[in-house]
Amino acid sequence: MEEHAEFTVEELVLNTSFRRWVKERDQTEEKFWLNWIGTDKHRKDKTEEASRLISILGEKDFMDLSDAELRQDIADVMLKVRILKKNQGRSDSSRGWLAAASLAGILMVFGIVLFWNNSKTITTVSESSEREVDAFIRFSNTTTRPLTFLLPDSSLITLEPSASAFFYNNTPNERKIELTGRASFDVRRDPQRPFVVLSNQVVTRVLGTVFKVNSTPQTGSVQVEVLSGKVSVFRESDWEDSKKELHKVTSGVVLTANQKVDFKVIDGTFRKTLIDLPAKIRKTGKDDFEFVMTPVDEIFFRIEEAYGVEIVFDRDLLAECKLSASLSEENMYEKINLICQGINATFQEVDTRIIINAQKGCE
Amino acid sequence: MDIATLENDDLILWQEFCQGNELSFEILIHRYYSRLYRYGTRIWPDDAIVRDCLQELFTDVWVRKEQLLNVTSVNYYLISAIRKRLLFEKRKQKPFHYLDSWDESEMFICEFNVESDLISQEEKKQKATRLNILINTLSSRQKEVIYLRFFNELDHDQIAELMGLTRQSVYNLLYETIRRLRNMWLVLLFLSF
Repeated sequence: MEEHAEFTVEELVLNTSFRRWVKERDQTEEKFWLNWIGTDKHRKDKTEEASRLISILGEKDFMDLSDAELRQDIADVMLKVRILKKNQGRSDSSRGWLAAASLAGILMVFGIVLFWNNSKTITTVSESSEREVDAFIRFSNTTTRPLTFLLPDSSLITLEPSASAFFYNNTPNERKIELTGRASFDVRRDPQRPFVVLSNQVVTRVLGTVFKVNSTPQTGSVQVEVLSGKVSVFRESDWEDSKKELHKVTSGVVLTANQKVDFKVIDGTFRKTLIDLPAKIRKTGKDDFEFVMTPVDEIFFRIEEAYGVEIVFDRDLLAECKLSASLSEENMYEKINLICQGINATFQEVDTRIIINAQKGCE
Repeated sequence: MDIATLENDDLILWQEFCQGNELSFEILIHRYYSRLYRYGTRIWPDDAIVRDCLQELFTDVWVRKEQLLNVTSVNYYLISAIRKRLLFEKRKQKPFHYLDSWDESEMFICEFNVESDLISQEEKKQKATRLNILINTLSSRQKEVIYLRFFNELDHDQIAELMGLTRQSVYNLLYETIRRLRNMWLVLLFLSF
């Protein structure tokens, strides 16, 4: 019955069964459509035109995740799920713990413990904060391997062995953490409540991102490394001043992905550099680092795009330089090193920028 | 990933997940994460925000899994969930983006790619540009309808429900666009010979 129905070209394009035949070569659908066409020349022409229209409609890449980012994101979700699962049925006892904690003002945690199973638990905390109790949760890692904790705002903190942190509950305008030791953070975005990490005279402020802080009192320095997103880092004294007076300009350092800062407690200075092994900050196609007689400015541009770093070089001098190279496997520094070898240049890192030093151009 | 044939399989995985099966949940995330990301960034082209929303979406879905047993299309449920979440976030954060020129929920980025092997390399770019000019004359809403139908394989009823349109207007819009594409294509073919 249906096989006698007439279809316009447009209807064919929109027909789910027809699309399945064209795009996925579905056997069942194929049978139907071949039968429908039969020996009808007109139907055959329409089918061909519709197939062509379907095949030109492809999704053009706009933004995409790299495989590594995808894996990381899925691992993050699964980690949160495992934490939730582990604490299922423990909600009553953890609420009891929290009540006790707000009385004592301190909560000792060893291992992974979830602090919110439902919104009620969170309310318990905020109620106590209204009473101006200095309520905070303490996390510490006394084991020999990294431990991950879920914070009440559903950000993640991973403490390295012997690191510890306090999370303040009674701060409606910010999420405040005091950290001793080394930790990495995966912060949930919430512009109304910036995430603030205090560590040995340094304040790191963030809206939502992935970064690491290393503040080991013995070394007299604090390092902040940014893996994605953007954070700002201040001296604690500047930070406090800026909070007292509104609109005051605060001196600090802004870090974007692949940058780190080293703060020396003794003289209060910041030194900003690239992290040791910069990772790609956006997905690149598999041919993006396959070069065939490509002008070096184009090659440098690709690297800048992929890693979010700035490369400084003499455009006029290197205008004629072209390279053929396959650099997909190499890390960022290896890539730059190989390019420099190809054009007889050297490079150095100054202030998070890569400076290319070339003596002469190419023929 | 072949959406249509997976739909049944997805529902089985979904039911297992609703009963607390972690592995089924992980497989589902694998199947949908990239696709939802691509759709999400077209609504709001900010990598960090879309990824945060996806994280929250999947954690929330896990928390509420017992109530989600009656979901009939995983594809539709997740697309509609990420859409609602992003539009909600967009409204919430509007004051923070007062400098941006785009209007709330009035943006959807969509370009087609001419991928047919029928066209030779040098002509490809030019034709893609022309087809994209055509697509760009559509409104954001219209672009989203096209995108949902062709790249996410939602059916007309689902698109109508998601976008708050009638089924007939979804169909008319799709039909009209294909008609214009078809004419455009004939003109392009004519020009190239």
